[in-house]
Amino acid sequence: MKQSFILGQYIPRDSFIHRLDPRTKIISLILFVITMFVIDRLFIYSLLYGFVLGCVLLSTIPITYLIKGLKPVWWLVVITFIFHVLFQRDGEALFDVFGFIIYDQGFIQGGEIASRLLLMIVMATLLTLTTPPLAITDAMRWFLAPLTRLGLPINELAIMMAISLRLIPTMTEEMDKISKAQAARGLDYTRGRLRDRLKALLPLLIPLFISAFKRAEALAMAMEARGYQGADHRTSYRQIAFRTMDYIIVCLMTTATVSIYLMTG
Amino acid sequence: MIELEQVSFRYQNEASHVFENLNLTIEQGEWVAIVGRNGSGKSTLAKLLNGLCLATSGVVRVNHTVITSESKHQVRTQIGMVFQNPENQFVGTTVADDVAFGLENLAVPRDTMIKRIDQSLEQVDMTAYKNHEPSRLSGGQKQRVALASVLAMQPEVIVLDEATSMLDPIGKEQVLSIIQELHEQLDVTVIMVTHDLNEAALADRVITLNEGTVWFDGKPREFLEKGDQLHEVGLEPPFVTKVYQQLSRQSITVTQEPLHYEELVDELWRLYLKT
Ligand SMILES: Nc1ncnc2c1ncn2[C@@H]1O[C@H](COP(=O)(O)OP(=O)(O)OP(=O)(O)O)[C@@H](O)[C@H]1O
Ligand SMILES: [Mg+2]
Repeated sequence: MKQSFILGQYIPRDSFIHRLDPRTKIISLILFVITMFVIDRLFIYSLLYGFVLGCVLLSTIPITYLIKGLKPVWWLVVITFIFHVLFQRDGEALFDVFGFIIYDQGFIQGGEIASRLLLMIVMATLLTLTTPPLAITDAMRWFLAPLTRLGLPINELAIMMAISLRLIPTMTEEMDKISKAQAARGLDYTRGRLRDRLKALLPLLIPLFISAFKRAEALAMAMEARGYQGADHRTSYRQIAFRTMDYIIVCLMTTATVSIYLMTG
Repeated sequence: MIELEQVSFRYQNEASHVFENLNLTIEQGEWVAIVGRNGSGKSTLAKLLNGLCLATSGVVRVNHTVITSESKHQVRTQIGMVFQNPENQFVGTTVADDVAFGLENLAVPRDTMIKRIDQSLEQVDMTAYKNHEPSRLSGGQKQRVALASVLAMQPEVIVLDEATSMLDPIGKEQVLSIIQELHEQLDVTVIMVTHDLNEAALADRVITLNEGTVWFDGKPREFLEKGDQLHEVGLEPPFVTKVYQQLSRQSITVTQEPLHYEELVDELWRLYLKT
């Protein structure tokens, strides 16, 4: 699981992209996606490909790692493309393959949609690969902060997120322990019919839930013992700070988005 | 100073009391070990001290403040608590974040926070692990971080509820020597719940709980003198005590009851040189 799919993982490095404020990266990602959806000129797509390639190079994350890690996505992109080529009915007919008439618009629209999918996923992956999950949580809290005025518990949500992130490895370890313990008792959930396999999962999930609840209770007590009284009126140790480079990047991205929009009218 | 006056406590929906009319005073700067069999109420007593449990009747006072549901938050700034399971008290995503958690709750300004985090990690010798995630730490290291988290809050009292029971001998030794150092240098009150009587012998005072009452309260040496009587309250006398008692039974007298191996070895040498 860990090696096969990398969306959502974080690789610590000290690159230009890593050093940007998480908010800068999120804003840039949003602007990028907007750009992608307003344009329909082929040459701008080549610009976008160049931009994404540039970002990947700047992040110092090996391209081979990205290519291997996003394997399931490649299939999705290729299938999307083929689907459009085969079933698009606009434009000039080009040629005929086993009764399917292929139109030029099929290539163009298929290429556009597949490109959008591809570029969006690569950029989103790049965000998580270069930003620690906690920094993303902090950024989200900052973006959502105005909603606390409406009485939404944003600070609590942020703490919940942070604790969940902290507990993922613990729970994974626990799951592993339980599955070994149950395998030692003769449980096998890797073979047989789907229904049997699902049934065999129960003896794994129930102990996992029970231990998760116990852990939650103990953790709540430990938090309370350390003076936790709710997520408001706390100070914060972690800080996200906008630096000069962040302002420059946000300005550049905004300018680029607006000018591309005006150009394509 | 901690005072319990006529304290009774019963868990909600439970028929019987854990404590009835318990009286106890612990002075500032004392090192107290609390021992007793499973279910004798040690953890419950610990939780009464910082308001995780509130007395059903009677009063618990910490530095003359009575613990109530209003005052408990203020009291928690003076009493730090380390629990048994290292995994279940690590709140932060990294070591530094975990130490910061308590300080954030106290709304300590960030620059002070940074200083205190470094200082307390230094005290438990975990500075090198500042940015590590808990999954990359051993149980003993996690427990030292838990101790650092408590120290950063600069409490007057530290309560340890079987904090070393899940550690190997080396981890145990490290945690205990840190506690010893803190006790000597900073004069913090240490209240240590334990099942290990060798560990209890390190304290200035041993309190033995049995069926919700104080069965013994006094010096570790007097406590170990009870010898076989300890079986009555579900405790096993340590090896050193057993040797001493065997010697006494054989009418071989030594100068004083040994507390730990070194004292026993000294006594045995003395005997050997006499003969
Ligand atoms: N949350 C709870 N709800 C109800 N009863 C409880 C709860 N926790 C403990 N008890 C009961 O209170 C009594 C004292 O428990 P406590 O945990 O204080 O014992 P202990 O001396 O710490 O034991 P151990 O050595 O096993 O840690 C026991 O009879 C126990 O069953
Ligand atoms: Mg206990």
